[in-house]
Amino acid sequence: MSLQEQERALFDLLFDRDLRVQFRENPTEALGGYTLNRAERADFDTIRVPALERDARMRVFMLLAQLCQELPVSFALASSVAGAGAQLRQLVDRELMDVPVALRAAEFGNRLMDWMQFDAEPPTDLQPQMLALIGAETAMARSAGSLRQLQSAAQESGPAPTALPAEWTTLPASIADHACAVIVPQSLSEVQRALCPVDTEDLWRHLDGHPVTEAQVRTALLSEEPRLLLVRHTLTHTQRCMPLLSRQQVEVSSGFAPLLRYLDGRNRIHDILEQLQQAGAPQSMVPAILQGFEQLVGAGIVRLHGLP
Amino acid sequence: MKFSELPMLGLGASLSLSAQPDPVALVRAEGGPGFVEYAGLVDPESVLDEVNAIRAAGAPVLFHPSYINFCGTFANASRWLDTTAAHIEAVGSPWFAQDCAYCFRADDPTYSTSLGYFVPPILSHASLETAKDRVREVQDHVQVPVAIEPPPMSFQVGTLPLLAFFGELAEATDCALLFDMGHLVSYEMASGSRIVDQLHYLPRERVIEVHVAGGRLRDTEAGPLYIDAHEAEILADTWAMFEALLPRLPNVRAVCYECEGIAGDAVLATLRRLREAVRTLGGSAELREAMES
Repeated sequence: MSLQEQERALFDLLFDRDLRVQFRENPTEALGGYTLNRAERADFDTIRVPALERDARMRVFMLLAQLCQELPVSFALASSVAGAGAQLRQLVDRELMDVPVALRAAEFGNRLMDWMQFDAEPPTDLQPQMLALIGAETAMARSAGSLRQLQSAAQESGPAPTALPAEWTTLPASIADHACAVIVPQSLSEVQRALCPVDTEDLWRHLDGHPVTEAQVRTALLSEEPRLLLVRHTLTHTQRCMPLLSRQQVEVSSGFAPLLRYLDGRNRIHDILEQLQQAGAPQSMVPAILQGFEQLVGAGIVRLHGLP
Repeated sequence: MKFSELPMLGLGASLSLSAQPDPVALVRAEGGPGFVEYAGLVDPESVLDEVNAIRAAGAPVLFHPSYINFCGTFANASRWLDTTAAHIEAVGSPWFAQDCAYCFRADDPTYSTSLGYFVPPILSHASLETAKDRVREVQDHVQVPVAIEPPPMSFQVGTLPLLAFFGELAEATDCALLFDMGHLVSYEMASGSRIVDQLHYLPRERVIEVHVAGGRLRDTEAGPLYIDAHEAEILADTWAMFEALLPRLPNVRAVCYECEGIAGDAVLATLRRLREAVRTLGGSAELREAMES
């Protein structure tokens, strides 16, 4: 018997669809699982249930609009599948709302992938690509979320170098903190350009009224050209409470992926290139690989050790 | 606290700092707002450039965020409160007002968008006692007077009349009140009660700010539902609430038109109508005179 228990019941009523249905039919029974005395229970008698339901629907809409900003391609792809609108709404529930805010988008992405994999019926031939792209955005959301939770650690990771020193290839290199790397079947940014015609802030409102068609998805995913997507989140500037993040995102040839495991903080880019040549890689490949590393170092995704 | 000693800000507008209509252009326009209220991020660095431009154009600002829990058992984090105090000082906000509602849950301080939007307080005695702790928690950090605002409500939980809850909360914590006319309309629809029937609970001299904003009505099986929508027209019910309450509030220092997303010309037209209404209906000579300047 406490205000805490009333709060638990109130938030559950807002975010638990089944509980609301039960509450409409039999309020006493619906609240039976909460330790409320008669007076505390009576506080819920004042609720106009249809208004509560409307309120809850509006909240879900607003929450989806926010989640869509972190997972734009995932939302666009999902919208092309039959029944997506209702399903996306159902994925916002009590359990999702219990996840810390910083990690909510990643959790939503996981749920979306589960739905696309096991319950939805996307075109069979497109499903693997759709899952890979949703997985990539989910990984990015997870990386951003973990940085938000560990903002003090992030401040220690420092910015990317503004200009590379001449000897940059001779410095030990590693993947930067709060970076993630995933293979995507197509350029994620190109798919976003093709399927998300408005700013991410307005995207859910747009997709809710104008879902992407299967034909649009098919066109966007037509030419499979696997890419290695590397992303690093950093703080834009020091914020005492809510960190604001910026994202450095680089897409390189998927052939780059095996090289990443050599970036262990001891090896130098120069050594990696030499070993590649010794292993028989054609000389003509070296400039392209060097350019790829330069791009990654410039974006702060690969960190050089021993810089002043 | 003597609220009558707070500066008279007159008629102003609540605007988004980074979107149309441009606050600086509006402030400079003839008949433009005399102050600008904004809902910004907690960290002051994120708004200082825009705020300084508004102040340089001659208008003071009021910081009106949406991340403080002024009710409920989830305490505000000291880091957020300290930063809020720094924000208020940096922008020179003469008081600090926000809706008295849930913005976040558990140990996860953040903006009310994490819940979709505000969750209204439970109108009960136990909730009222806890709200007093939340208000004092903020007052302990913030150097300017704190004003609490009844939030928009689709539904009511609890049996205390709204003005009984807010009247006692204000008296017990010596804080000020902000009344949004649309929010009061939303309460009337959610509760079936009338605000004018509850005025005897209200320490009227504590109401220092009034908001007027657009809204939409939605029909439900249980009757109409008011939805706060600043980009929409001001509803007749909201005008009626304003006309009924303003003459009874003797200490209003600021009347704010919340108009984010409305074109500049339309904002100026509504400010003209509001100015005329306040000139006629203002509850104090000082407020009415402020409409002349």
